[in-house]
Amino acid sequence: MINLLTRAFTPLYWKLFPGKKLETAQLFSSVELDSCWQLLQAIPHFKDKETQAQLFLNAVEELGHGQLFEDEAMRMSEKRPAINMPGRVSVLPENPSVTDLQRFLLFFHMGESDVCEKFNALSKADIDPGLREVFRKISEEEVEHGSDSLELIRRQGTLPPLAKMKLAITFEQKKNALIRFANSLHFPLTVILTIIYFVFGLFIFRRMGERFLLHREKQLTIFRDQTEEFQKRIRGL
Amino acid sequence: MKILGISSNNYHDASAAIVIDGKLIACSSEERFTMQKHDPNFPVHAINFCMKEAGLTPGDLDYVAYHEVPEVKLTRALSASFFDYPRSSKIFGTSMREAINGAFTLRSKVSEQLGLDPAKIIFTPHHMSHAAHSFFTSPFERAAVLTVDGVGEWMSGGIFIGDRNSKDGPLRPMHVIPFPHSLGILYAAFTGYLGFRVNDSECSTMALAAFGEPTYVEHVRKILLPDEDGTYKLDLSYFNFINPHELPLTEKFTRLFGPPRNFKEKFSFDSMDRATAVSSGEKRFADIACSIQRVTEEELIKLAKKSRALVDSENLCFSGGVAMNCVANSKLLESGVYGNVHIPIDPGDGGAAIGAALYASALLEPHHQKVPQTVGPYMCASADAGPVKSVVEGLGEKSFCTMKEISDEEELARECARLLEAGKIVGWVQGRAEHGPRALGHRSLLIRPDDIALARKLSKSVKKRAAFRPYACSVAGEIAGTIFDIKNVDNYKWMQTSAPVKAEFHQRLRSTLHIDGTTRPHICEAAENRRFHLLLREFGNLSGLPALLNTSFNLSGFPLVNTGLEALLMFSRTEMDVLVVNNLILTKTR
Repeated sequence: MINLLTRAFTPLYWKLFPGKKLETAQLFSSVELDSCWQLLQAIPHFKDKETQAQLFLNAVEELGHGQLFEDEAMRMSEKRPAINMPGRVSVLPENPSVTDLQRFLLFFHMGESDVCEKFNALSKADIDPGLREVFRKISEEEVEHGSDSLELIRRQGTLPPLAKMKLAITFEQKKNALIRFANSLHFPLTVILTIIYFVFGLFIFRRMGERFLLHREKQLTIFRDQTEEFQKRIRGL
Repeated sequence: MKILGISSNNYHDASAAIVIDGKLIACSSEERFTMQKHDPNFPVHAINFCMKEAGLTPGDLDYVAYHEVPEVKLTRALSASFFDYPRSSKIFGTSMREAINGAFTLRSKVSEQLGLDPAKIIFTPHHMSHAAHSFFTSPFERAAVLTVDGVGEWMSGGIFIGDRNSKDGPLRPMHVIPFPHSLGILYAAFTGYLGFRVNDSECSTMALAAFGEPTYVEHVRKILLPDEDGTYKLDLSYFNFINPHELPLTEKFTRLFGPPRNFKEKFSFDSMDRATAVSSGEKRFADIACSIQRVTEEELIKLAKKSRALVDSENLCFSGGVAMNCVANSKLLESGVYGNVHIPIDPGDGGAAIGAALYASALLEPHHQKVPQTVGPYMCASADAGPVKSVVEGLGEKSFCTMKEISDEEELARECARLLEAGKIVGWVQGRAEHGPRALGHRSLLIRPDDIALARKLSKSVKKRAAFRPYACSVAGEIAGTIFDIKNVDNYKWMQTSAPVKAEFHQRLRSTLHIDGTTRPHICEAAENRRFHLLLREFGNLSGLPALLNTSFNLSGFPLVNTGLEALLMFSRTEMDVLVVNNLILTKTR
């Protein structure tokens, strides 16, 4: 159902807000590159070489996907697109147990299945043909990544209760998405700042702005004073 | 005393450094751990690395030194907004949110993450961090210290006296260049105007400059005006400094210089071919690049003269983002204003974490900084060949390369030299990575220096690099004086400057030369990097000249590779022929 909606409404949404198409390509690039990074972090923790090799091959393809989306973003953009760099947080803990590794693989599997469905829907949507082709190509490869990771989970040893693990991962994903959403809600602070700006700005903007025009000798005196105060404070620690 | 330095400012190049008893133990940019070039995020991974490398846990730290003072930065953001009241209303919320976050939450954030008493977090003024970085890593007891960058708190540049034995403190400010009158911002603005990425591709502006004539100098001089104190000020009507995330230019700027370049257009200039035909549009942009480069060089020399007048010393330490401009640095050296110039390996914000920590150390334990310390380039994370070997073995039939291990260092160097001599593109990853943006023989891509076709293949199929950008050259220290037309070899060690190559060596080094016959030298001494020196020597035995084309080992848009696996990833995605990770040699079969 969601995929049908994605397929139907994305073209409309992108027509209404053309900038969103670029943002989406950049976001997918960022997601794919993060996958590549996560896999590279995980490889040394796996003991068997075949698993390491398989994860490496997946990482190579994820890197390729990231670059494809980035190329698309560049192609669609009229001015050089700004780069958004989310902080990277490894899914695996520092010294992972076998269960952590299986959980990582399941996490990867779920992520791949999720984007695969989305990309598959978008590859059939009425959107820019270049981007559609990218979605098609990548969704085909993501299908393989998804099944590879399931096979790798089995290879790690006793199969864990997958359904329970899946539920826990889904819960964590939703929780993280909610936190990200909450963090991105700058609206109340922006409103307060805008009021401050207009109301107080009328009275103080001249004085604040004048700081720009201070004579250099005055600037030097301020900096010297700050330096001396800083040195005294540090020496007093 | 154990001091952790941190640099992170929301815009670019977050980093961390650890100093113990006055000595720099480790440092790294966050980008090396996250594979995100110029990563501006709080440097969690770099901090973890520094702590591990020093064998510390958070409770062991005595102090954390941060590279700027967020509260002062907030006053600048406020002033910048109100200066353009009410036009700045649109972005006030966004820019204030960032500044407010820094001013009010940083101390608690750092304290929480490191389990440290908030009173033990020291906020060092940004330009002091830069100044401390260059001075305390220099071999000088006393020097003039010059900092020039985009902006740090209220300053865009400063002149200091550096004196390790002074009772008034090791670094005393003598002159400030206040924000917004910034040479760094001016250069970055032109970089954006020329279609390159700001705070990343300033080197492209510099490279392009070599193809132009300085016909727009008078135009640039309309923007950068002389100030009564002998330095410069900007005509602010050409700039819009309100939104730090956008190109800070007004329409007046484009009326003066013409429409900006579309970033998708390609340049036809080729650093290895003087005869390439170019369009008039391309020529205009090259002329503009040349003009801003020329003005930057002139202003830098003026600043050096001013600092010489203020500080009686033959020694200069220079840092800040503008100190990454290796062509301007070489003009500074050639000017002869100073006999000895020290530019640290990473003079930009990546190095500010080192400076913050060293400055705190100098104030808290002055005896440690009385004697100059040698800081080499190889302070970042180690590469491990183990995972590379496992992955390649695990690939089985899917493998794309053969693998052999050579534990004898000389034999390894001989084998790699043979491959280089045979025209192979070699990725060379050894031990701890170099800090800063330049590959200095631990994370390098190497080819022979005389083969233009091979260099073009490297540009096209591996680096995805524009043909107008030149490559750098690594040479064995013992022949540097023979190859380069320079006075003091010590000033040219780590690619911080460009240097003219003597005419008799042009043919043999032609793929490393820019159009003007210069290159960026990396002068490798055996004492500093034995294994790379051995490689150069063995290559010299085969080719007659111990010199190699050396460029950073990274994919386009990514930082230098950090781990062996990242190197293998790049090896598999490009047309590199050979990958060497410590003692492991991988040769591509398909």
